[in-house]
Amino acid sequence: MTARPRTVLLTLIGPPLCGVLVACLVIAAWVATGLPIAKGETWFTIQKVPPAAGASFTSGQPDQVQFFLVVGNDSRDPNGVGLGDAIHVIGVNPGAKAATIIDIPRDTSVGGAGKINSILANGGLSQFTQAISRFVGVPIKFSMTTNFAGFTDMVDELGGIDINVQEPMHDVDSGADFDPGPQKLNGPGALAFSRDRHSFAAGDISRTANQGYLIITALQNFQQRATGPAGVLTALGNLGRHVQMENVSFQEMYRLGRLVLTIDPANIKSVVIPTGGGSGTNLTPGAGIDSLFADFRDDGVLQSH
Amino acid sequence: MPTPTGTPRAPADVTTGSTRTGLRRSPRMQLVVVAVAVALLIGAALIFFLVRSDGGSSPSKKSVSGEVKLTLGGINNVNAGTPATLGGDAANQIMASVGQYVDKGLIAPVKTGKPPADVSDLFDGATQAAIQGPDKEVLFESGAPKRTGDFKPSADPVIITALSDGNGQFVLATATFNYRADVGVAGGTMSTARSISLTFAPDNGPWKITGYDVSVTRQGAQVEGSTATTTAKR
Repeated sequence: MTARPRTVLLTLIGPPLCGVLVACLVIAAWVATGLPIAKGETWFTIQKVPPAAGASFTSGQPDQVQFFLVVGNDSRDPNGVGLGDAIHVIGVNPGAKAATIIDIPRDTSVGGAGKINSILANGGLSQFTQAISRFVGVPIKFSMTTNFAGFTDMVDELGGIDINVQEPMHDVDSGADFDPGPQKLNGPGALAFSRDRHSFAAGDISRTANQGYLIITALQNFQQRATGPAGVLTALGNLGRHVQMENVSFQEMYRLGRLVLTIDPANIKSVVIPTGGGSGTNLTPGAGIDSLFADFRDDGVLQSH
Repeated sequence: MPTPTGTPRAPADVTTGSTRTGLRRSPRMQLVVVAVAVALLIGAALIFFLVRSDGGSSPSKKSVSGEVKLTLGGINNVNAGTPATLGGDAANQIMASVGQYVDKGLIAPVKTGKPPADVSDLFDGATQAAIQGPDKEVLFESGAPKRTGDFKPSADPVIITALSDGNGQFVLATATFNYRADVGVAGGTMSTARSISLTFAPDNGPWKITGYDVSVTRQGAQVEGSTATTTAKR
């Protein structure tokens, strides 16, 4: 039998056309009906903390001083929570458009219970937040933690961090390999920057200070990129696919984003707490720590330190 | 043994073992294929266009202000999870609030020379103190200086950016636009330009303003220093 041209054409394009149309049907149904999509890997967990007993914490109003806890943990498991190795309590004073970051070295010993960083791995974020809240004496409203994979993915997705490296950082263990000067850190680079302690004489103290510096720099970057409320919503949409929100609403996340955008990075202090020992394990809180915390506690920012 | 005639038969496909002869189908089969394809196409189109709109009516493109042309310029949907599109009802409600804000808060005071009517019902509880206090002068016109000449307001189309949560529920939306007005006052014309971003959230049902980012720049007659810019953010 001799095939006519029309028949040949239909024979050849018919089946693939059907396949394409079936694909169209599936995609249309997916887009239109909102079938569940795979939620991305979790970059970080954010938790709203109920006020601790006795705290004067009544916040919720954006004008009030607010305290946050940001913790980097050392879990290599994308879904895991490990030791709290980067510990930062952030006080924000909206009225003054200023903030302070209290940086706590991971090896700090609190209340004779050993290193503070183990509380996160053993007790979870809630218990860790309570411990830090008691230690510093401030009512922490939100706490968030991220691990290695979450941190690197987040930094990469947000386009990296433009930072001015202050000192040479060359450390095989952390992977840091930076000369001083402006650098654009990708996810692994930012992680290496945050983890390097061997490049400094003061070890973990310098590393902790660098982490605070990275937070301020990331804020600067965020302010430059997320312009206005629509920019914050767009960022939230991106983050929202990768954040585990515990007792936190998107409205609160929005207010949090807007709050940090009001802070001038030039008005942010980052201070590592004084410790009794040098670089090493089980650092005891050092002289002057009560004064430092009292200065921080009253309005979220340091005036005399 | 018969001699092959007509078109030479193609060699067998070494991968599948099939031959081109296997692709030949009867005209009836071909019609079935085409019919199925068309049916699938129609089905896809129906699903896409009918099911996709989750808010009933389409967002209106009409002006939401009785005083100035104020229209919806577009909607950006930001999804934190399940893909979703802001429904027409929600968009229309947000636009209606924007229209009331402009008419009552910005235009009426200039036209009447009186402070704005109460528009606090457009805002949620968390913003009430601020809109009555420090941000009032930026958010609203006050009716001063007194108008002595023409009043020409204008506005750019409103762009809505809407955020849905992991379940596809819309939880926040911003309405962003620029508003300008020239008004004749003693000594000449005063020009006012506002860059306005109003953030809405569902408040037990209706969408209310839960935050804002408004800056106002005034220049010309009656303006100290010829130009003055102030901003209110929440």
